[in-house]
Amino acid sequence: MLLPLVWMVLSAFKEPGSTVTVVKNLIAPPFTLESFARVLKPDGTAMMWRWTLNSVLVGIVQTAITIVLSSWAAYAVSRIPFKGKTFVFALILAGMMVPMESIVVPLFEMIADLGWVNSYNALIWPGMMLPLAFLILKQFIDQLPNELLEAARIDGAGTFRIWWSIIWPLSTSSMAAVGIFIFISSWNNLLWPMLVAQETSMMTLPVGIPTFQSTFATDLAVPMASNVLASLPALIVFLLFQRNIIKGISMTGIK
Amino acid sequence: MKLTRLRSYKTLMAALIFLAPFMILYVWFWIYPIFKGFISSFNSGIFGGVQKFVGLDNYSFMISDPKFWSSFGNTIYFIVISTPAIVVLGLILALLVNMKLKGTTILRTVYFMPFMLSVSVMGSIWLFILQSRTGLISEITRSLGMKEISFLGSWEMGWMSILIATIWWTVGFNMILFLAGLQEIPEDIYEASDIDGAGGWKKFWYITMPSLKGVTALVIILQSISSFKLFGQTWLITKGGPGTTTTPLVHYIYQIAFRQWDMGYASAVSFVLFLTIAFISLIQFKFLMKD
Amino acid sequence: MRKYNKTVALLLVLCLTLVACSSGNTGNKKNESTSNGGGGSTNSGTKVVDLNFWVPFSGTDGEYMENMVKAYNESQSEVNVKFMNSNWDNYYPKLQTALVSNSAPDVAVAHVSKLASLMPTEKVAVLDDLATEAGLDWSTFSENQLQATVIDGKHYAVPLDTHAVIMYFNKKHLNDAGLLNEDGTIKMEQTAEGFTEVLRALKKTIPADVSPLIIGSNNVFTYWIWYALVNQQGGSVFTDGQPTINTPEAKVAMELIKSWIDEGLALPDIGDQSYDIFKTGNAAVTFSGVWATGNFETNKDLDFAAVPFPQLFAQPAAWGDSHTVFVPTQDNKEKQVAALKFADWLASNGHMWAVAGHVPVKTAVLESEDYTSLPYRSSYADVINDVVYGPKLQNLGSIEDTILESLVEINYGMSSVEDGLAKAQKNAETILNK
Repeated sequence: MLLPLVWMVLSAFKEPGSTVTVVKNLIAPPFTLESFARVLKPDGTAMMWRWTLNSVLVGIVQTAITIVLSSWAAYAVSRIPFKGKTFVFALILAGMMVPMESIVVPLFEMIADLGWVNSYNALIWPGMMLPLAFLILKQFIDQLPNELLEAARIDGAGTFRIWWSIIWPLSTSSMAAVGIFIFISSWNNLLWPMLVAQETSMMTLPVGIPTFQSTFATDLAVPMASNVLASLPALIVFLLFQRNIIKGISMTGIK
Repeated sequence: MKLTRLRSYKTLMAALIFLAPFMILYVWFWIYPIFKGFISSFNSGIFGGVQKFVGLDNYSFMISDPKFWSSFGNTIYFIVISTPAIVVLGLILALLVNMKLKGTTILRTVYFMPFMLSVSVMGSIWLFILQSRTGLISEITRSLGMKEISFLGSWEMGWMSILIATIWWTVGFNMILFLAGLQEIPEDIYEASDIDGAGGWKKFWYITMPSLKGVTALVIILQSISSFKLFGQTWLITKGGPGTTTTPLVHYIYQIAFRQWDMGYASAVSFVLFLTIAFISLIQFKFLMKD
Repeated sequence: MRKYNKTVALLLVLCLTLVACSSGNTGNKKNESTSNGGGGSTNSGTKVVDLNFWVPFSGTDGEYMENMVKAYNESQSEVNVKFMNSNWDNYYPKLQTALVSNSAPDVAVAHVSKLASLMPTEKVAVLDDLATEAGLDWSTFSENQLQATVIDGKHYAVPLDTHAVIMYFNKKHLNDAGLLNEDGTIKMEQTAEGFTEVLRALKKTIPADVSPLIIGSNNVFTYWIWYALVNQQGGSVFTDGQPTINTPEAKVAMELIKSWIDEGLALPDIGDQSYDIFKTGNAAVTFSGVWATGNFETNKDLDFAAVPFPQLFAQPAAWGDSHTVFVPTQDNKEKQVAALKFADWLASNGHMWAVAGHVPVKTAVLESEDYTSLPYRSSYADVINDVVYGPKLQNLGSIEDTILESLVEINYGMSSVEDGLAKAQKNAETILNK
């Protein structure tokens, strides 16, 4: 199971251009950091640092915006009585069935009209998994004991104060769970960033990594080095936060 | 009376404030594009050029477009071969890990880890493994004097390769979902059945399986929807080939929109994709969540 | 919980600040893919004209072009060119979008085969008048290449180079098989059968894991080779702007290619690995692009020769494309004239670009010492006269894509030659008439 990953790591430490497919060559020295150096040197078509920054930035911003906005909306639909609530709820639920892949074409036209092509705006605003976050947070807020909110209301707390002092602090665990899920999916996005990031400097990691497979092919060491570098953040996060990530996914499942 | 009206006005305002940011973003970037795409599907013209209204032409073209049907068929084929495999494997792995034998937590980490990789990394690794003549497996078989297995050289093997790569990449996710479901089952039910003298298989069939119905339904739905959206693996590993035999629907939409610049037709096919996924989600929801 | 709260809030603030900073800073990031030469400073009075120059040269090509831009900037002080490179794959969608949304560069490279597809944006400037102002003399360019850039009698681009599919062969393997003449050319009958005989003879002498021929059976090379062979028989893939694919010549060409694979003379299921397989000596002959010269050279142990695509039928013909430089329309005429001067300079210094393997377009450069002294390159320069350019169709790219799909299916045995060609014809017509 882990063999492909082991191969990836071993290959990354070989000299650029070496035949890492022959096991003999693979496990014998020399081992070098040359391929990594090659990958990290920024030039016109390879910018690992910038791509990583982009992926992280877009991931964090999208996650933050999604969680906050969904938390507000979930609170409203869950706890504030207003006319048309069922309609809004249905509308949001319906959105769960819209895959991003089926709207990339009109989205692209919209972004081009807005002049946002090749900008952070184009990477951030479309594609946030709002309905999913909404659903999970709403379920959580639904389950909060009514007395808690009643008590606060009796104390004179307005709607906003209730959200800020009660809902927000209590939802942290479910927000963390959803957040991880959303971050991973944002990190992994390939199709959309590929369309809107037209300058090398605006690409995200998934878009940039394939560029290391030069047309001349079979320099495997350098692409593998880029793969290792691209996976490092994710794998480190995983090993550190394994429990939380797994808990998060489990919770998303039990919705 | 005035108080209640003021109160209800205030709550309405509050609701609006809390809902507005979400709804604005949501409607603007998720709902509106569907309608915009739907309208575009009635036009024809190159991106940036003049758009001509052509009514249902794009749709009638689609019906007779062999490439549409082949990519649609490819997508369905992938769903059919991958969903059972990934679901069952996920379940088996979860059962394994759940047995809490020595070292099973390591197993859990090992099986899940590939899911943390980006699709580009995964695609790159598997391409290098499966490539003809210069791939890892090819070199190994050659050095052992065996005949070369062509992984990407035919329609069937191409899909098999996509399947293998996808399973490796995502089975861990389903495993976690099943694990969560398994861990929800209370111990005493099993203990009670032990007292009744039930063997391992009976326990599995009569206790585990029914309790997992909800999770299984979820996994099947999630898996088939994500298979419908297949793009990254074929884009990176088989590049849709040989020819168009491993080109799924999303890939075909990309070709129409960004190689032919025919946004109208691309919107039409996208809309059909949307309807299909919506339809299947609805059916699966109703059917699998019957309880 | 409180602590968690604060961290989240902090993160949010951090994010928003980052977003604000980054959107403002995109111009100043250190790793921007631009480079300025030394020609920025000038005496007061003459304002320097800045030009944004877009190119699709991933890999070593990009380095060579960047050097040329630097050299240009240093050679004069009126114009400063900013070099902006992109990956080949993304380039045309990016260019198309930029032209449409009015964010196009001042000067850009485009393949001559793609020029027609950019026309509908109506943002490609006519160059006739601008060229006179810039002092650009069209007669200094080789005729075949120049004609390809003229649409409806008007000039729309300045040719930069020609890159064609030619033949490379491994001198050692050929020699071992006794197939090398005194002058280093291959001993063969100048026919299709003659060439195949050479491959068969090679197969008998070369080691078992070396392939006589290596070509991309899974990628666009199949289309390019087939295209050349069709034209060599006097046929053509396009006639009067219509695809004519299901022809006897096409059938003969495709059957030849398929026979090489079926007889085991060329490896099946090969994509871009073909370059490396030849480079490491694991193939005796390959049809590859001129741009591979630089790559093959890096293997000092490889003793190879590069010659024009062999004539296997009635007349010589080859597939090729040209990089050209075009100027998007804009209000600043000064920039447009400067762009043309720059393009002219690039063409006149084609020997610098030839290091990448491409063939220069100016007759003077082709005859110059600088060019002829480069290894390998002048030995295939003649191919530029054999190049049969594609028709100026807006949809050429996607039509060729669809033809290729069918050809690949033939290669892989998924379709017979007849069926595949018929399917290609049908699909090509569909796209053309859309």
